[in-house]
Order: sequence, then structure tokens, then C-alpha cells
Amino acid sequence: MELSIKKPFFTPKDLSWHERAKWWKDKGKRVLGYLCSDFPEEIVYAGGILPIRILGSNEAISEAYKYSINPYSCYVTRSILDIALKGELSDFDGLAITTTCDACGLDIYWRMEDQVKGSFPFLYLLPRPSISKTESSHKFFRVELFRFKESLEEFLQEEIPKSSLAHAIKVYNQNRSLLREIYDLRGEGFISGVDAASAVFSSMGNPKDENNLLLSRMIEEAKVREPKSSAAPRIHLSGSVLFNLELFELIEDLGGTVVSDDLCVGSRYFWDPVSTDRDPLEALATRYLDKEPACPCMNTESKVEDRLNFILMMLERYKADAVVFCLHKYCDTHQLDYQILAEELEEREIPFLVHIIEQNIGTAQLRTKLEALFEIINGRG
Amino acid sequence: MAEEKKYKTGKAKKTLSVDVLKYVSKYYIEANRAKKKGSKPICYHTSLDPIEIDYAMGIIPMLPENFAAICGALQIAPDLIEVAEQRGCPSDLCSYFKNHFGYMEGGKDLPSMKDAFDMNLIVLPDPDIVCSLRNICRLHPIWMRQVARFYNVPAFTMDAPQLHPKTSLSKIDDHYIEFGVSQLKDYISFLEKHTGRKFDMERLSETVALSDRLSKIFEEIYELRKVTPCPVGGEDLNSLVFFLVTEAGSQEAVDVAQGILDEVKDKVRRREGALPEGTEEAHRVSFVGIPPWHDMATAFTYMQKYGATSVDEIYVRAFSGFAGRMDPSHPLESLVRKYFFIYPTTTEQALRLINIEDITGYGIDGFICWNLTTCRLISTLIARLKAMYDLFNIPYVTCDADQVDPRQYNVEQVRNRLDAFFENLEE
Repeated sequence: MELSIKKPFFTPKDLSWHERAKWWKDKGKRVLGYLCSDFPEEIVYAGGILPIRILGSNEAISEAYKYSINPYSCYVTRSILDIALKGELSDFDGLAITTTCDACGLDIYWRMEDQVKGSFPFLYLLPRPSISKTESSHKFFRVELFRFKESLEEFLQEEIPKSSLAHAIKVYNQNRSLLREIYDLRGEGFISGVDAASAVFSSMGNPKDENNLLLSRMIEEAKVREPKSSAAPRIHLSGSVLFNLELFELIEDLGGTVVSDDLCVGSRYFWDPVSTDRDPLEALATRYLDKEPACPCMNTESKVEDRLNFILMMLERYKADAVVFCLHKYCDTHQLDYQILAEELEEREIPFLVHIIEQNIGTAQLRTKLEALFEIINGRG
Repeated sequence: MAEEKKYKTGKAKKTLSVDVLKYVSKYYIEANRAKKKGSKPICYHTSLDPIEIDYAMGIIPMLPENFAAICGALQIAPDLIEVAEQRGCPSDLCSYFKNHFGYMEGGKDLPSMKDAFDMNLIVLPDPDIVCSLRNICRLHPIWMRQVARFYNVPAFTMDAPQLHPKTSLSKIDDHYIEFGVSQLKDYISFLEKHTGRKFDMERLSETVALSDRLSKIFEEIYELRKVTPCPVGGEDLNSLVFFLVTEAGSQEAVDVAQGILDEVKDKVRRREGALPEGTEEAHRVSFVGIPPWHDMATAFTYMQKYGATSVDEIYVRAFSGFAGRMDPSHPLESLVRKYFFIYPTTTEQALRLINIEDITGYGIDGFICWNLTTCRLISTLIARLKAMYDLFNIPYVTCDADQVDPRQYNVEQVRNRLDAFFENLEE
């Protein structure tokens, strides 16, 4: 299959939001933005719409401050509002917001409704429970997914058949499987931390079927390479959204390598597949509620323990030496979970550091912290 | 002798005769006594949890948020918050949470705590169980999980998903109600399992009826505040939140509220306003946000020199009167309607809460927004309200003041802003 995309993007720097939407729109197709890794893209894809993840960016905020936005919400929130208010999403046909965190559910949706609504023919708030792994929460979310699908059908003026949903799940599962393979190859030194992260970023914006081809090629090329063998500190990254690959690059510049993560722009996006042995909407409801690693915004009884176990599993699977927590300022849930995770890592004598980020990752300060961490790791031999 | 307080701030002048602290003290003393005897289990909650179920089962609900507000008023919160920050809590995290976290993590034994609590009169008894309904913010349930972990007690979490924006509060979809009811039933099973107490639906109907009566009384008080001169000020209304948050479902709360309502009615009859005798009511303002418990004097009394009084407070109204009437014959559904569809979870409720037309019923000249940098919800609400005030050209002033932590508080700056605001109103 030949790629139809002339300029696939691998990192958010590659294409502007306009460009990402425009080439697809030029084919007479539709584009829908979404904000969170807990959004069931498959439904959108099944409707022939290209879902593109809006991550925000580390550009300075200009427009949004004219609208009295909350300066005490995370930079991701403020940046997304700024991007929308600047009109950079004007080529998007729609925007779907999952109620994962207060910033998404309250701040962004309200603002989009109040100030940007006219620019989106389709603006949707998808209510999602913060409790998972219970029959009542699954049942609730199934109804909401059904309602979302109906609204989308109304917007498209055509039905999204079950077979299209099943196909979308298959394509998305293939993407998840390929990304896992890339992570495994990264763990063995065939792929760099930066390239593996690029593969995840590209999956959040290119059409999935074509992106899967790109990833397959990446894997084929990697497999014939000599694996890079080094004693470099192997890092697990923990956190939420990163706007770009700067952090991965900094770690590699300092002689380390990122070998695993539980980021919203990493394994949290793709790790768990969707079951294919049941009704598609039911399978999507289960996957997007129960998925591991869970978002800290979830309130399921065993959430923190599950998050810890996932991190420990990744540390073991990819032989990581330490954990670097990169948390957004004003992200209460990540910061609260961190307190417990840090306690548990300390008990297990696993080295870690925490770094609070906002518009930028704060390279100078982080560099010093990482150097100190690497010294500890290297000192352990 | 107690060490001199580091942060000198003032108490507001009261406009009602009720001694709220007396009831608060009594509540804490009884809870500690029950804890000591083992006669009633203690369940920690975050605010706006369905505590009517606890009352129906003879369980004592305790709210660390209420405790934090008391610590704020007594000006001992900074010491506790410093303990929390020394334990790694980021400075921009909720100061109610940090106050409690610091208390758990050794702050309880600080000399300032013992002095301030006057022979340990107000001491938070340790919990037997904890619960949180996520309906206000994402931090609440994680807070209770941390408490459960610290005390090694069972925890239960419920979730109120945000209402679909197209859903009307008058016609809420069945799956929302079903999800809520199902979780309340699970909560009841949790309580039965961990306390050994039996649940009785008839008893719940009674506590729901009491809760409804309490809300109704508060609605009536707020209606009476539309009168000029306003019979009661915001300083009193804010402290009455204790009854709404901690005692919804108890007879005592209804009795106290009824007494307050009678007093307010009497004041209206006598045309007695909240302002000191001889001061004419020149300005009526609405108070937005959580009050700075450490300096209620600046928040409420300072404006009196301009003949101004607070006649409406969104914070208090958020805890009362918005649920619509509860139906004791359907207690679980009523609790879902009261607690699951509040302003952070419903667009419509939010709009209703900030509805200009509704608020203008109070004859408001302007808004005083108390911005809370450590609260995502309040700072978001205030940012959104300010956008709306700008749109309608409504006067407002923003004051930065934490609810319990005065360390970054600049009283001169706040008073200067209030001065400028009222001087503009007078022009």
C-alpha cells in the first residue's frame, strides 16, 4: 500500500495544526480533534473521520489571556485554549473532550462553548466515569459511547455500521501491537528512545492504517541494525503530556536513554488492546475505562497500586534503572499520586527524581537533576 | 503561655446571635467521646458526600475540610501546611488538603496545635472508615485514599460523572440515576460490612426529610436577604456552612437553622440590617469564592465603612437550595439528585449558579471575587465569571487570598483593591 500522506508527522513540530487538518480536508474528508488518551478514537475513525490529538504546545500564550482564562490551570489547558482562540483549529470539523480531568471537563469545554464554539460544527463533551472495573461504570459508559456514536452519525448524516467499528478496532489494535514491538526493540537497543517516542506521537495524528505502515517499516529497518549496546542509565519516564521530544533528547544528550514510560503520550495511550470477542461498543467501554496504566484522575479502588505495579512491571521488562517523574504544575492528581509512588519506590530503593514542568521542561534545572541521578545510577555499577 | 501568632488577622463582626463555634465544639467533643467509647464509628468524608446515609446508620461523619477551615480561623493552618510541605506536598496544592496532611504527618503534636485548640477541645478523631464522592474535584477521592493508607482503614469512592451538556436537570437520563443509586447501594453495603451496622430504608427516609428541611430553611434565609436592608451578612452565612456540610440529615441542624430563620424574619420585620446601627446600606455585593477564614474581618467587615454588605454568596448557595426538593419516599434517588448534579458536574447547574438574572434579584451592585490559587475549581469558576462580568460590564474586584493559608496574603493590597472598588462604585 502506498502512503497517501505526503508529509507524515512524527513530532508536533513537523506540521502545524492547520497543515495536519488541511491535507486530509483537501481530500474531501473530515478532521476531529481530541484532547486525551482516554478518548475512544475508534468510533471517529469508523466514521471516516481523522482523529488528531491536540496536545497543546510550549509556545507562549498570547490570545487566551485576553479572555480571562484561569492562570492556575495547567499549561496544557491554557495552551490548548490559546491554540483554539488563535484560530489554529479552524480547519477542524469538530472537537471531542473527554471528562477525564477537571481542566478538560470544566475549563476547556466551558471555554470552547463560550468563546470558540462557532468554529467547531461538532463540539462534544464525552462524560466518562472515574470509577472503572465495575459493572455499573461499564454500563454507564456504554450508554455514553452509544450516545456519542449517535451524535456523530447525526453530524455525518450516515450510520456507522458495526462492521466499521470492528474494523477500526482491528486497525487500532494493530497500531498498539506495533508500538509495543517498537518499545521492545527500544529496550533491546535497536531503536532509540527518541525514535520510539516519535512513533507514539505519529500514531496520535496520522491516519492509523497508513501510520501502521510507517511503523512496520520502522520495525523492519530496526531489526537489521546492530543493536546499540551501552551501559547508559536506562530511564522510565512518568507523567502526562509532553508537548515534544525535548525531554527524550535531553536524556540522550546526557548519556542516558529512555527505555519505558507511563506517559499520556506513551504507553498510557496504547498499551492495552481492545477485546475483539464482544460487541464493539461494549469492548471499547471496557478498554477505555479499565485500561492500564490508568490515568491518575481515575478513582478506582486499586488505582495507585495498579499504577505502581505497572511502573514496576515496565522497570523489570525494560531493565530500567530509575524513574523520572515529569509532572505539570497545577496537575493535582499526578502530584498527589506521586507522593505515594515516591514512597513506594523509596522503599524498594529504586532511584527517582521529580521535576515540575510548565511551558517548558526547564532544561537547565532538569539537566542538573538528571546529572545527579545518573551519577547515583553509575555509582551503583 | 502561647507563642504570639505569626499572622495577625481579624475576626468579622457577627450579625446573628447563633454561636456556631459552640455547636462545632460540641460536635467534635461528641465525636471524640464516641471514638473513645467505640460507641459510634467515625467516617471521614469530603464535602458534599451523602452523609444522610451515615446519620441513618448511626455513623459520625467528620470532614477534614471543615477541620481545615477551623484551623484557618484559628490561624494555626500555616504550621500544619509547613509540615505538609516539608513532607513533599507542592505549594500549589489545595491548602485544605495540606492542612490535613500536615496534621496527620506529625502536625497534630505541634505545640501551636495544642495551645490553639484550647485544651484539645477541637481534635479530629481518627477515622474508622473513609469515603469520598467525586463530585467537586479530582483531588477529593485521592485525599481520602491517602487518609485510608495513613490510618490503614477501608476506603470507599463514588463518582458523579459530568452531566452531558444537552441534558436538562429537570429530565436527567435514567442511566445517570441508576449509576448513582447503584453506587449508593454499594456504599451502604460497604458501611454494613465495615461497621457491622444494619441499614434501614425508613430511617434513611427520615434523615433525607431532615436534610430537605435544612435546605429549604436556607433557601428561605436567602430569599429574605433580598430585602433592603439585608438582615444578615455574609460572614455569618459562611460559618453556617458547617451545618449544611457536616450535619445535613440531623435534627440539630434543622433546629439551629429554624432558630436562625426566625431571627432573620424578626430582623426583616424590624427592618434591621446587617450593618452597624446608624450605617445606611449603600452597596450590596455578592461574594464569590471560598472565604479567607483567617481574615474574615477584611473579607466582610472592612466593606462596612462604605456602607456595603455581602447579600449573596455562591459558596454557601452551592451547598444549599440547588438540589430542588428531596423526596423522602425515594431517598436514594433524592440523594443522587442532591449530590451528583452540582455545579462542577453540570453545565446547567453552573449556569444557574452564576445566572445574572437570578443574582440581580438580590439587587447586587458588584462582585467581590476571592481567587484561590490552590483550588482548580474556584480559580476556574472565577476566571469564567470574570469573563462574563466583562461581557455585561458588571463591576467586580479580584482579591487573592488563600482560604486558610495567610503566608502569601497581602492584607494591604487586598484592602487597597477593595477601596478602589468601592470608590468606583460610589462614583
